[in-house]
This record gives sequence, structure tokens and C-alpha cells, in this order.
Amino acid sequence: MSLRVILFILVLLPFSVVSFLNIYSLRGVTSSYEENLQTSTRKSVDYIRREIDGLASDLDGMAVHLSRPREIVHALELADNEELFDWSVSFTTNVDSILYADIDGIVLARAPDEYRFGDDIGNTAYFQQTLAAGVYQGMTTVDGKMALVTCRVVRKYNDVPVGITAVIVFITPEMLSRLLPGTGMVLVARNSRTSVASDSSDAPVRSSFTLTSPFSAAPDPALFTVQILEDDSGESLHSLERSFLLNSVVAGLVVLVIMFFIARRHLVPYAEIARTIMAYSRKDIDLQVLQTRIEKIGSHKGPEIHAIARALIKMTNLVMANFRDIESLNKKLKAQAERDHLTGLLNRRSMDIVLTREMERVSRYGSPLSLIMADIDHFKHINDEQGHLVGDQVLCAVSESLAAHSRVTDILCRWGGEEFLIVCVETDLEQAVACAEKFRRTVAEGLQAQGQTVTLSFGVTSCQTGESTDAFLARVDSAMYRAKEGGRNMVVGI
Amino acid sequence: MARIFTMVFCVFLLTTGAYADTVKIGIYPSNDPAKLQQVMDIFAAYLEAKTGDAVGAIVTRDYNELMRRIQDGSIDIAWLNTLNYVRLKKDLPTIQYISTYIERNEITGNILPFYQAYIVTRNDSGIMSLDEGRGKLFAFTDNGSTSGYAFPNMLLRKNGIDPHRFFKKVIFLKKHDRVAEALRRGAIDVGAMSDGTYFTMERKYGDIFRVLAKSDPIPLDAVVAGETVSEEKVLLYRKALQEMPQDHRFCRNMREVLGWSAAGFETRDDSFYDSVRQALGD
Repeated sequence: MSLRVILFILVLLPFSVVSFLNIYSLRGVTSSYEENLQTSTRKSVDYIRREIDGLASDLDGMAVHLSRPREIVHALELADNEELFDWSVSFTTNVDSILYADIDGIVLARAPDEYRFGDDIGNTAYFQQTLAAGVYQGMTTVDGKMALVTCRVVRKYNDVPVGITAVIVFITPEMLSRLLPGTGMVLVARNSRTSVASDSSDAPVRSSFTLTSPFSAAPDPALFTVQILEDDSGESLHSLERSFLLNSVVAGLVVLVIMFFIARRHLVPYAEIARTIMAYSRKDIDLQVLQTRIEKIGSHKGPEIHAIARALIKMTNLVMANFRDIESLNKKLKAQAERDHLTGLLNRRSMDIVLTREMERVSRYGSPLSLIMADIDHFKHINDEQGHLVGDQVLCAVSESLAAHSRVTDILCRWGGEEFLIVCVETDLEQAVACAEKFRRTVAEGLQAQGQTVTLSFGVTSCQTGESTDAFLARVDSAMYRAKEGGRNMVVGI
Repeated sequence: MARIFTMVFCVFLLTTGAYADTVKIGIYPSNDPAKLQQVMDIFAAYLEAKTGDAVGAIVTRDYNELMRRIQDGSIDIAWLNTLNYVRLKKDLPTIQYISTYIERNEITGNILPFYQAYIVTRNDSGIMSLDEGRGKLFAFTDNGSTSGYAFPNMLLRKNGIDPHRFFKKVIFLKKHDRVAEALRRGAIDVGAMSDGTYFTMERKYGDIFRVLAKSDPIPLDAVVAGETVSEEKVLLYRKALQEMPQDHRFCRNMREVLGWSAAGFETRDDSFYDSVRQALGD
């Protein structure tokens, strides 16, 4: 899993957990609030139902009390307005109107309007139903207004109807409001034709409940509807919940985006550096390319990357320096492995490799190849007489002379103690002998050791077709010995 | 000294004992009871001053209560309207006539012991005669009232009208001023009331009523004593009432408060009410 992914997870996971826990907790609070609200709503609806039932019961009780006294029966029979008014006016504290009407529907008395009587209610539904059924309790229109009307028949001898009494409560917003336990709800009273509400505002309704009531007399029974208004607190909680959720999502997205850009700006260079290093480790690139890439990465990024890039570049510089040192050392070691440490000429081992290579070229292309073997005359004597130090000096001087007068294509080596082998490529025997002669003369004329002239004996031969390297060397060695035996300081070619 | 003191004390006792009675005077509620009580308190104070008795005024609930109480003696003296006097005298012959209430006639200005019953409508009712009251709403005062029921009822029947058949509905409003007010407000179309009530309304509201019919003169109210009241007491109160000036505070209050044109009392006798008996067919 990449660092980027790990960082994303490290940042988003706690954020997500915290957000989830908070949303869960808030949801719990909201649920609890809604439960309480439902409980409260049920209690309120029950309260209102009881209030309406209580009102119906009170009005009916009042109608019953106002229908039974003997004085009222007598007063209805005699059309005694004063008696009927005195009875009804004492009960109008909690109701809007009480009237008495005779059997024909003529109102004989109406409280609290002392001088409003004589009108005919005989055609009203509540009068007719009261006479028919003995009782009426319903919602109807009285004096052009919606009213709850409760009626009872007044009977003589508890038998013969002599009139009715009607207890009237006008349905007004204030009256309906008094039936409510508190704020936050509206009570609507309605029948098929009209309705009255305790509050006419257009506040949004959360839920509504329809209640039946004792005011259910036909033909237009009354219905009461309790409307529970939207609660600001609940809406605030829901709004908070939605906001929190939205904010969490937005915050999460913002964090993601920021993390993306941060990762892009700050983590990608690390990945690039890692990839570059890994490419180097796979040997897909060399150190120089690595350094170039690191330099490029570090040049465009933040200070940390820049510092890392600088450090890496320094490191690569050190490594390259080390490599150069190693290479140099290797070269030296190689040189040491390939060269004679005293004279600097190729050593025998290296010359074997050269010979093998040149012999292969001769066998492939048939080009001429000659060998010159030189041996320092009386070298043991020099060592013995003048010491090894002088001997070494002679060796070095001979090497230098041979190297200085050799051709570019000649390959020189110290073949043995005081023996030197020169490979002359593209050189036949005659040419090789000439070269050897030049070598002999130069050394003989130029080198002296402690006052004594140093000379060399040269054997020269050319490679024959199909000849092996050993045979070739044997012949040149043989030639050199002939030179020794011929008196030294001479060249013998065979 | 002791003898003199004793004699003086005995005279004092005799004097106060002979006249220091508690007398209750009851009146029928033909008008607003509170207003009646107000004027009757003045009436009682006058009599107390004239007689030396402790006089208290009582306004009964209705005519029936007044008659019952004079019968049972819980009221000593009663102010009865004409009808109730005639009926009570018939039922309780032992009641004792004291005096007759008199008024100043609003039309002639004469002081007379008579008044009239009026059948009245509003000027704007469109009803110009009794006949045009057919199917309308009619009100009496109380079936115990002389000018509020008995004489208007006779007047209607004399004109061939059975009120319970002729009118849409007959309502009893129990008091003359209630009939007048109901008429004024349009609650009824035609109503029966005393002439005094009519004239009171006229003074208060102007010419808003029309009289459709008037009764024959009706003897005014009688003040009577129960059978338990002594003859001397009766004479004492008769004299006191006879001596009341026309402009006495009581009379002024009767006019101001009740609208009755009270002018005091004069002494007649039981036979003065025979015309009522004849009218009622008794």
C-alpha cells in the first residue's frame, strides 16, 4: 500500500469515524426528540378530546337543569318572559346565549339579550330535532354564526312537551383556543358547510388528528380537527442534522481534494525519488542519470524534497567520487595486474593474453605477426657487482628505451627477469629484425650502468601458419639464445 | 322622689309601648324592584315619622307573594293594585281598607284616584288599530296586574279579540316598564301598560308610541291593613296618608324614579272599587 494511500486513510479514517459518531449521536437526539414530540402530541390530542367531551357534558347538564324546574315549565306554559329570562341569565356566565322557545318555536326569552325574543326558530333543525328526539347536541348556525347548540325539551308532568331550552356557545377562534393545552397547535371545528379555526395563520402543519365528539347530531355532525404545527425546534434539529451531514460530506471532500493536491505536490516527488532510486537499483539507469533526475525533481518541489534531493545528489556525488576512486584503483590494480611494477611494461600474464588475441587475428586474417625477445646481457653480473638497485635501474632504463623507440603498434612486456618481449603486429620478419636492430643500437649507444655499457641480445621470428603460441615463443626464444651464443649484443632472426 | 320617678317611668313605658310597633309595608313589583324599594323606603320613613312606628318597606317578588304575606300576617300593610285588592278582599274579607293612592292626570292635570290602561304600539309599526294587530306579538305585564292585564284583556275582548287566538303570541313581561322597553326595542308589536308608564316613556323618548286603545278609568291602588292590625292603627295610618302633601318628597320620587305622577292619598272606601268588580264580572 503506497504512502499516499496510507496518508489518505490516516486522515480520513478518524475524520469519518468522528463524523459518523456525531451524526449517529445527533440522530439519536433527533429520534428522542421526535418520540417525545409524538408522546406530547398524543397527550395534547387526548386533552383536547376530553375538553370537548367535557364541554358537551357541561352544556348538556346545563340544558337538563334548565329544562326540569317546575317554575320553568309553568313559565313556558304562561309565556312568562321574566321568569324564563331570570332563570337563563343566571347561567350565561360560561355560555353565549340561552333561550326558551314554546312548542311552536316562538322564542319567549333569550339571555343575555333581555329584549330580544318573539322570533321564530320553529324551522331550525335543532328545534325540530329537539322536539322529535327530546335532545339535540350539534353544530349549527345561530344568528349567522357557527355555534355549538345543546337543547332539551321542557316537559310538563315529565311527559308533555311545552317548549325547549337551548344552550348556545358560539364557535370563535378564541373559544377554540381555550380548548387547547398550549401553543403549537390549531383546533378546527367544521361541518359540511363551514369551518372555524383557532388560528387562521398559514403555518405549516406537521400532523393532524380528527376527533369525533358528542356534537354529532344529524344532519350535519360536527368534527374537530387538531392540527399540530411544525415545531421550530424539531425543524432546527433536522436542519442541524442535515447541515452536519452535508458539512461532513463537504469537509470530507475538501479534505480529499486538499489531500490530493498535497499528495500531488508533496508526496509525488518522494515517489519519484523512490522510483528513480529503484530504477538505479535495477540498473535501469546509471548514477549520472539518477543524479540528473534527482536534480530535476528537487528543482521544482518543496523545501523538504529540495533538501532530500540535495542530499541525494551529494550522496551520488560521493558515490561517483568513490566509483572514480574505485575505478582509478581498479585501473591501478589492473595496471598492477597487467604490468610489471618495476618497468611499467606489460607483464607476462598480460602478454599471454595479447599473444592469444594476436594469434587469433593471424589465424583469422592471416596478417603477419612477429616477436622480438630481448635479454639484457650480463645482467646477473650487474646485479651481483653493482647491486639490485643498479640492476633495477638498468631494467627501467632498458624499458624506457625500448618503449621510447617502439612503434605505436608494438606491444612491449617484461617477459622475465631481464627478458623483454615485443609483439610486432602487421610486421614480417624483416621488418621485425630492423626494429630489433634499432632497439639494440639505441640501447647499446645510450645506456650505461656505472660506467658500463648495457647491451641486449635480440631474437626475432615471425609467426608461421598454424603455429601455436608456445611454438612461436619457443622459436623466438631460440633465436634469442642464438644471439647470446653468437656473442650478445646482436639480433638473430629466424 | 321615688314615686315621681316611677310615675314618669310608667308614663314613658305606656307612651312608647302604645305606639312603638314594627310595621311592615309590602308593595307589588309592578316596576323595577330596586326603584320601588327606593321610593318605598321614603314612604316608610314618612309613615314612621307620622306614626311613631318602626316602619319597613318590602317589595315582594310578585303579586301572589304580596297577597300570601298579607294573609299570613308577615306583612301588616299592603299597597295593592286595584285587581289584587278586589281579589284579596274577595278571598280575605277581613282586610281593612286604609286609603287610596291618587295621581295627577298627565292630560288634564287633575288629581284623581283613577288611571287608565293603554294598549300601545310603536309609531313605526304600521299598526293603526287593534284589528291591524292580528298575528303580531303582544305582551301583558302580569296576569295579576290591573292595567297591565285585567283591563287590557277586557278591552280586547270588548273589541272581539281573544288575545291568545288573535295575536301570534301573548307574552307576559311581568312589569309595565318591561313592556314599554320591549315595545320600544321592537321585541313586541303591541303591549299593555298603565297610562303612567306610557307618559314616562313619552317624557323619556318622545313621541315614539301610538295608543291603540284606552280602558275606562280604573280606581287606583289601595293601601290596606291585615286583619291583625288594630282599628286604631288603621285610623292612624289613614290620617297619616291623608295628610301627605302633594309635593312631598315621596311623591316627587315616585315621579322621578318610577314615572308615576303621585299626588298623595285620599280616603275612599271599599265601595269605590265596585266598578272594578263589575268590570271583572265579580
